[in-house]
Amino acid sequence: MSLSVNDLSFTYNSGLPTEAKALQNISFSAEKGEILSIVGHTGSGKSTLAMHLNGLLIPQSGEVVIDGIKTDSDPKNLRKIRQSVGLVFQYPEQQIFAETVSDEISFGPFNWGLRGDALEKRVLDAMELIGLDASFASANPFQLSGGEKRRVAIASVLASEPSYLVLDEPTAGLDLSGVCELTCLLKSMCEKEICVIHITHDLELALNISDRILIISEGTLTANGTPSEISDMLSEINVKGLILPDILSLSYELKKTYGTEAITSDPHMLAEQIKAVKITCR
Amino acid sequence: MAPVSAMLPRWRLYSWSNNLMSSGTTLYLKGAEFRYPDSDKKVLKGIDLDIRAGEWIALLGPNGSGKSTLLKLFNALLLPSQGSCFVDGIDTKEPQNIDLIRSKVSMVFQNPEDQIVASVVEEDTAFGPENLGLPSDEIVIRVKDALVGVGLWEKRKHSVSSLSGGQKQRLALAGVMAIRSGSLLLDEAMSMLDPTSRKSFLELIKMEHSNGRTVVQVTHRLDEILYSDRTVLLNEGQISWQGNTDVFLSVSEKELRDMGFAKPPVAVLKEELVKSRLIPASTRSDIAEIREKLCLSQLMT
Amino acid sequence: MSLIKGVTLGQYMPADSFFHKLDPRCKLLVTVLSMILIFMSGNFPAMAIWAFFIIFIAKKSQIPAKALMRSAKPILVLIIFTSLLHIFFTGGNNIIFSIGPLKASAEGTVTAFRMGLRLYLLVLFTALLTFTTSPSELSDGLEAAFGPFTRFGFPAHEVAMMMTIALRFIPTLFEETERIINAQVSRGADFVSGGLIKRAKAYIPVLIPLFVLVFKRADTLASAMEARCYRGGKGRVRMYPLTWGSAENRALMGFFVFCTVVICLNRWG
Repeated sequence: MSLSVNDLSFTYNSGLPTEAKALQNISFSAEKGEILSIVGHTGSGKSTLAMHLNGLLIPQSGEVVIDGIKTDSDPKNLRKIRQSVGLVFQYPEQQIFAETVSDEISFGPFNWGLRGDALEKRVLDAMELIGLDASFASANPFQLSGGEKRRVAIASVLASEPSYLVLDEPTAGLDLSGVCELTCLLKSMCEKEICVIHITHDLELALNISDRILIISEGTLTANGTPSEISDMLSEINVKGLILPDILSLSYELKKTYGTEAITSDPHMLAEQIKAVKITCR
Repeated sequence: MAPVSAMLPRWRLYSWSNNLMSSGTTLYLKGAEFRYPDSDKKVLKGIDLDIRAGEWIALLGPNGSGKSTLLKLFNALLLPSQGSCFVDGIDTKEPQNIDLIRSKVSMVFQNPEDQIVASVVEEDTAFGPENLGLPSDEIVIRVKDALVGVGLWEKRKHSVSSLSGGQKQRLALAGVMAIRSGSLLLDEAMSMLDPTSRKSFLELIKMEHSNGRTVVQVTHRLDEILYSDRTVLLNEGQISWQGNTDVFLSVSEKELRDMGFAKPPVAVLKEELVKSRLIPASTRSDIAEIREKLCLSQLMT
Repeated sequence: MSLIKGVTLGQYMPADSFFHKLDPRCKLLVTVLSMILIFMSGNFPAMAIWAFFIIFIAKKSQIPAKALMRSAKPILVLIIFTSLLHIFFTGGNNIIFSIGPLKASAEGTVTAFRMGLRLYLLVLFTALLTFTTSPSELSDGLEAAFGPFTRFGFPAHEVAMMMTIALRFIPTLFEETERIINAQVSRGADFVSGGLIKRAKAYIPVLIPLFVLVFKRADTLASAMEARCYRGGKGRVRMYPLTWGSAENRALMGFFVFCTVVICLNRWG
């Protein structure tokens, strides 16, 4: 059981003067229990791709298959897919509408048909997963802090108990502790065999937390590999719109000129390499 | 957030670079306190802060520490409930001074969408100078300078909705540059930008600062404060520490993390290299400068 | 799930043309007068002349024909609806055909065609205005036009400013509404099935977040405007001040000549 995208292409406003090719022949798959990061610059098509993963957009050519179900306009299929693929948008706190945290979180499962005790349990489970104390259940979500609001929004997606969790820039606007908490949450999702698809423009973060990384540039898939494979690959090619972390780019230069063994994004390791090289130079 | 590290030394006066142009504004808070009219809770408690012309201040602190509130005292968007705020020696509490103060102190907010008023690029940049009642031909000159400065001159007749988020924030900055105020307040101005846009925005701020503008920057990312002169830490409405940014960044990674900050990798690298005497201690935490000092650029073909 | 992509909202298309450079007050005056005259146009020769006039201005202003045609799309439904009303409910003796109790009369069909054409020409003319005049010029023009009424307490500047800001935020709000709808649909919201009341209620999770967003934005925008030295219309200068010159006089003269021709055609055509 997996999520697979096969030869997906999508163009906005096809045929009109405002036509824009968003995705071209994208193919990849994602397995349960892994963190897959999709990295790309603004306008690379990553948000368009995210919307294909839960059927908000239907492929114009190619297909998206989730646990054997193809995304198409059939409402029954879409319903199944949307329970299975939870999509957390960027700044998800903007979707909050309910009077209490519990009402907000129960929106999803309620729409999927849960009622009564089963519904309540889902809400409390989701709150526990995200680290929100049960006492928040009757609070007014609009009066919570920014960080708490975001947790409520993410909990409302987790409440559907999805097998795949797609998050579009989940760390946007968060401070260090927020980023750490979110990273922990993603790792714990993995341990529960949930597939996490993390969409971001922060290459450094992706390199730190992912099992696999996809790089998208101008609608096409430029790379697909483990963080170390990607690090190695980026030393050879230049991806449009992607800013390399400082340490990594200096590491590449060092390797090219002095043939240092390992490419690294760790400043301590790089400092050691530079010291070694300098000594050789002298 | 853990209490301020005992490793941070007490602040001492430091000497100024003599070739700084002093066209920047001075900003001064004396015993400033603030609470919202319908609340008893003091958001700011007794702040004394003296910012000199042309200084770049990084204002850091956890959410709820009062950083944004403090920032808004400087352009009279908020008035202190106790104590005073002076801009170039002018008291912000006097209502007749507000126009003058706002022409001296400009602010860029966090969300680009919430600052842009007009539908066409050059019309939005003109908004500030138009409000100042400047002659029309002067406005045209300022708008051109500002848009050229931020790299949006070619798009001057384009609709605002055709711009990306990063471009919109540069447009907001242009709108503020056209006012030609002596100081620039940044309220988490880069937190909604992607890495590429953040880099180019930071370059623009560096440019403004090198032209003599005072900069006060509220942020929680340390990689944005690498070019600031002084760092001020705010906690629960009070200044818990202030000093040279270099000193602040020289604190260990672990100590900074306890305070809630991620030490920028380039700052870590700089320290290691300084410790091994490969680069001078005066090197800024800037990858290009580090490369230069290592003479790598000369040795690289 | 795209909301309203493809329908031009009479968007400004910058170009270097005589009509683009005309003072908006002149254009507003011409538009208002034209709207009145188009509505008074009785016969087809007169309407043909209007059509030529519109095409002439569009060509001179470098407006592509497709964009101009598409601008009438929003009211197409209205035109069809009123046409049907005219066809079936105008009394008359020349019955062309009938569907049950509804009788389509020849007089009705002619009236329908005339009304439909009038509405179409009206919309095209207003589209000409919005294609050649930026939103800011339009609100400047309106502000200047209503200027004399400020002494009676009419807030001309404030209304103009509100219009500018509203127009500026239309595309942004469309995008944000779309985003919120997507977020709720992803959580199982259903806007298509069920009766009218159920579907209306389904929009609550879209309207509430939208209102919250808009109110927060209004607050920040007001602060941002004040921070940029905004203090109302007092003392405000424009980067491109409105100037009424010989071009405007010539345009008006030409227009009055045209109107005379049209009125004559109406009387004796």
